[in-house]
Amino acid sequence: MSGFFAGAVRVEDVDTILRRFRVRIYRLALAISGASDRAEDITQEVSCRISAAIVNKRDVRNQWAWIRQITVHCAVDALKRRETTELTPDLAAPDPNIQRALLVATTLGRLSVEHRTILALSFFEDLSYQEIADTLAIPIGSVSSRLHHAKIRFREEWEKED
Amino acid sequence: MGERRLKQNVDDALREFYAECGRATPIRKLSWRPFLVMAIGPAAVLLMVLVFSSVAPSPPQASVGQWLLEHQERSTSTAQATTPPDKHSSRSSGEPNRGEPSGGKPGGGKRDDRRNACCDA
Repeated sequence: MSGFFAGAVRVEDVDTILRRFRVRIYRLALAISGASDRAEDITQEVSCRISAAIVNKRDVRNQWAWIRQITVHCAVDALKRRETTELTPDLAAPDPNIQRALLVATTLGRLSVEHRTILALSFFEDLSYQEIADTLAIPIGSVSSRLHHAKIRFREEWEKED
Repeated sequence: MGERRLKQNVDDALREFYAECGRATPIRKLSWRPFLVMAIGPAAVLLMVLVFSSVAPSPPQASVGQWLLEHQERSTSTAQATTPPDKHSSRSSGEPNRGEPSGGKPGGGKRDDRRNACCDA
């Protein structure tokens, strides 16, 4: 088979794919958006887009790379649509270090959507510069500079909390 | 001091935060309404188009203008047929009068011509 979605598409295919990737989509959306309710909305939108693409028999080789790209675009769009992009820290699974996690979430919320996205792709998804460049459709040089600036901005905001 | 130690390592803090995100699971289930709308929407629109096109009087395949013209002609002829017939119209309709032969004679055409001339005058 030339691609994952090649050939006849059935309802079961859509269902299987959404079942397989739903949690992963949600986690990436949460890493970028920082709020569970927003992450749920993004997951829903991504699922709709994926099913539409599957119905259109789009040929995709790397499933997760493709779905990740859709998730990042949806998350960025969702955050840009909102007037304030500042996060309301709300993690679905609290742990003993919740205070620190909330502090990080608040600090991330003060960053731009672009900075937040690149930090999530680098730290959460552990992607290489090339993979980040492919996901965001930007040159590889921009990835390193944007990541560098994102870390500097994060550190500045982090220190402001002192 | 504890706060300072909390913020000591930015990278570690970020990694911890993202690790937390990696453990999270969605609570809400996917709503199937958008999927249904996407799946049924185009089919419903197509069905409506088909239903309306079958209910509405469709013009013949030639052209709408021609169809209108024919429709108009048909309606005028129907209106003429429903108006009460007068003497002339009953005669001209080809109904044989009392005492008159129903036709077949070669002279019948001549008589009709005379009657028409009388009407024209």
